[in-house]
Amino acid sequence: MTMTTAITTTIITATAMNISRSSNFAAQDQEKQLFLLQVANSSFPTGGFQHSYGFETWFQSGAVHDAGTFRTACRDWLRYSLARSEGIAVARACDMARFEDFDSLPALDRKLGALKLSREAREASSMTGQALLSSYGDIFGRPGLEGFARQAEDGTVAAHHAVVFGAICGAHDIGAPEAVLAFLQAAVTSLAGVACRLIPLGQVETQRTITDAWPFIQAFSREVMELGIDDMNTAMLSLDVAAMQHETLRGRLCIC
Amino acid sequence: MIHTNIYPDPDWIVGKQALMNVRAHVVGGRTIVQPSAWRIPFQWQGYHYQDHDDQPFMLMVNSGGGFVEGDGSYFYGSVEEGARALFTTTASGKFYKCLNGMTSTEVVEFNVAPGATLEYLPDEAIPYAASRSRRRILVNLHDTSRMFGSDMVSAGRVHYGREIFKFHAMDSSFEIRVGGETLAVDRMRLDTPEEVADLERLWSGARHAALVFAYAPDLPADAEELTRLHCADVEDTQVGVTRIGNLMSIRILAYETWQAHEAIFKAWTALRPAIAGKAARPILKC
Repeated sequence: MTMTTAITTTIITATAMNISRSSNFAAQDQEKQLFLLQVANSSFPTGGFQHSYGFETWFQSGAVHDAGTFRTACRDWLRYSLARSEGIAVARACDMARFEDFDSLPALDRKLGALKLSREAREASSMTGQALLSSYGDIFGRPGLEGFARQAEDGTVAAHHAVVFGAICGAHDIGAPEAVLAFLQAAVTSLAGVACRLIPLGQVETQRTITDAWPFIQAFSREVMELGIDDMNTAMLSLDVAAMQHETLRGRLCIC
Repeated sequence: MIHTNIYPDPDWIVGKQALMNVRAHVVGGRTIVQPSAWRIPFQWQGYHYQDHDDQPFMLMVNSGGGFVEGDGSYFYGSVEEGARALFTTTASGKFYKCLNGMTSTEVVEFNVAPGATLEYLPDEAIPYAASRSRRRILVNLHDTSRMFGSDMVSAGRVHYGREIFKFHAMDSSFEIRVGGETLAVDRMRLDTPEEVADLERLWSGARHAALVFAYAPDLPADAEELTRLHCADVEDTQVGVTRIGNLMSIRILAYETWQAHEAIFKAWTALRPAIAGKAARPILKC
């Protein structure tokens, strides 16, 4: 073998290895993306499509009655309620699972639950979280989350949706920023779906509302990366009142 | 005994950091309140038996009148087994402007023993324009304790030049723990004047927000419905009532101060018989 041939062979082998390695990485990244798209999709069985987060009270009273009023209320909810409570919980649960600190999940779950003063809001969050955990187990198994799932089954943890979502993302080695982005997007999409049915809004208008929320979803998903469990809070007190009033609402269609 | 003596930090500046540490316990069939430590501007002025029974009403007196630029007030109260006590304030807690950007702190912490009853009905906190405040209210209960507690925050000096949502920052929490476990926490944090200005929408145009937590191991089944009925007719006021186990939460958003006070009083009217075994009454502030 001449020197030139040897060098050429080496280069070809190295290139082939790199292509193979990068293909593996690409395949892994694609698998993570596919996983995220699947579990964040409204067709994944969690019951989340019935969750109005208290908005149904406003839809009935007329306080939120068209695309404009919905867009404003949705943006406030995203910033002052969802991102700063569930968003932080998703990020921290994701980190815990990625670094196999599964024992810290119950404390995070309790802390998030304590922030939900409305009974229905707390129950809806737990119900959808347990459904997510159960469906995830049936489809993907529960690598690392067996203990948490057992605690959810015996009732020692509520398994709030945001905590479960973050944990299953972390267990699949998805980073917290991606998990939070997907969670916020899924929640806004789900709420917009409820608004579409109950206000009602047109389909194009509904999708436009979701698209309009993109910059806020991006900004808040970055913001929560800097925040810890002790920063969780919610300042949207009017939605809290609406969620409490939802308990006695007539002819309601949503779980909260 | 659950009481722990808590003393002022030696590094505190006199007049800048206030402390009051009291113990309520039963002596001769009635509850008495004893201060174990206090530091100005908190003042010890005793207590009264306003219901003419075994329960003292203690007024928490902060003679400084308010908080400015890093001031701190720390109140710690213990209610021992079988005792019952009511704590209130002489006036609203004022958070004055902090032009140097320092944050003022208010801490109120109660430990309530098995079978003890705590009633905590302070006046509202008023954050003035350009103020920065950090508020922490924590009530530690045993699962056989009984409690009715409220917290109220105003938008500012709403009738003084429309000083509404002009404060610069607030981090406020009201937390209930039972057996060491956090059962509920109301936490609101606004870090910038822009975020504070958004409260106009987040409170649906209300100028005053209040929260009541009520806890008893034997809260009646109709406690929620009764509270809703009592609070239903306060004008310009939105009230949400909910119950998780033995804890009731009542969220109040009102346009005027008196309306928020009225809604709190109506909630107390509905629940006091079940919690303290007697009717609610106007509290004398002298």
